[in-house]
Amino acid sequence: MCFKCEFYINPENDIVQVIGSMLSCKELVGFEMLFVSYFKELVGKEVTVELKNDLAIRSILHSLDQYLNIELENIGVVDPEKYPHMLSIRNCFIRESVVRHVQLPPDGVDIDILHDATRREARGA
Amino acid sequence: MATEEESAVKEPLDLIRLSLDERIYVKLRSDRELRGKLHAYDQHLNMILGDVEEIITTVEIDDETYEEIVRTTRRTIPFLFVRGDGVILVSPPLRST
Amino acid sequence: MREREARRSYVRTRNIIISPVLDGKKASQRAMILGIRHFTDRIGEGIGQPRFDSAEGEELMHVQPGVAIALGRLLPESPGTLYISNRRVMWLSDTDRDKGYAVDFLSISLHAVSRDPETYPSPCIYTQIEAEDAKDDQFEGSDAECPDESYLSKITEMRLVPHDPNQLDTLFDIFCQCVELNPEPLEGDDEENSWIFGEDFTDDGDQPEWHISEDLANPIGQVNGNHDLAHSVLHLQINDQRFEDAEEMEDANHN
Repeated sequence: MCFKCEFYINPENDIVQVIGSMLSCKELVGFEMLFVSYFKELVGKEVTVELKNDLAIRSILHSLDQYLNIELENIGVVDPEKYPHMLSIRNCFIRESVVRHVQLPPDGVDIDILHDATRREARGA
Repeated sequence: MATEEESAVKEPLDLIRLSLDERIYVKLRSDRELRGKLHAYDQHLNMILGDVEEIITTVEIDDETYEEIVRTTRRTIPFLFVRGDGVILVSPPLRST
Repeated sequence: MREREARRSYVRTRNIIISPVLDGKKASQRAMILGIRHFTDRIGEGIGQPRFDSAEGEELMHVQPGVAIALGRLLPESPGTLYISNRRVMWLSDTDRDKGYAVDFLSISLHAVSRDPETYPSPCIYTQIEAEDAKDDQFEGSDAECPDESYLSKITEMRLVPHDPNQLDTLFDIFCQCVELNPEPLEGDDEENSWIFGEDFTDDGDQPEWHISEDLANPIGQVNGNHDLAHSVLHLQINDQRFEDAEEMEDANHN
């Protein structure tokens, strides 16, 4: 448990829960949490998730879990040719392993904070 | 700037650590290539890149001549998270040693 | 330990790092669990219920009676009952003991609630399935009564249509929960050491194209036209006597 970012691991199910911002927390070293904490800060912002099957979904990031499974809401633009059914969907949940990459809002997180968090993670890993 | 210890390269990932905030080349599966500034990575080679140029190469066979037609598509992405399991190769910027 | 030392001693001038896990290797590890399959393993009297793999820790999470299933572009099949365990989703026909389907949560790429009558007549849980050969996802079956295994293994979309649409949000949440219970199996050697250093190819007169990182303005499409960078690098390393751990790369190279 870190009091600065209110990060703790539930001993019953090992699920990591975060309440505050932990990307800039210096207590967290080597927890493999860099990208989870990064994406937590992007909740509510627009991202474009591209899957390995080439399907691209532009949407608001609704939530994510410790494995980077992603839940999206208010799905806007998708690739209608390949998966026409996706057009009718507002919310969806995506398994992390099928994600190829995610286009991020450029104003999401301060670059210096991101660099510092990366160096801390590299030292701890 | 960096101390001797910090700049020493012992493991493959040390090379990537030294490439933070520099432009790198990343080859992905499905004939995709990326060039961008490295802003974050972890030991699985999940990465965040900035000012990314993505190049997608597709090869089609011409129906009549059976010749291979190679097409490349380029697009730029301001800020991109890349999952490490799609990464085949990473090339940090060339540096004089 | 000796391997690690060998790799360290190999470190000289290098500027390329290559992933240890290439497509084929991972695919073969997961081949057994990909896609939709028939399920007929029932226990009990009458129409029965599915047999769970309790020795492997499989537990029932939810039962939803009155659900139709539509695989790919096939017509919906009903009536049936949906059994959701912590490992997989099973749909069992209520009338035919030999009819049922199962799909592991590991194969469910995406799930969503679909309520738009224009794209599908009934509100449903829409899922995308990671199939063995996703390239054939436009495949259209001719025998809607009993799709065979090879057809099933190519299906990339599955819709579950509950008789009571009010159940959709509950089902969606259970699916979310269960996906989280099924993270990707760990790849055996996840150490950073399993990433492979490449030689600094700029000294190699035969490979002038390797200057990829030297000049970032160089159009990369030319460099990679029909030249597989990763495989060439692997070859170079396999032929290198100093590298003692060639076996792993042999594997990777057989893709």
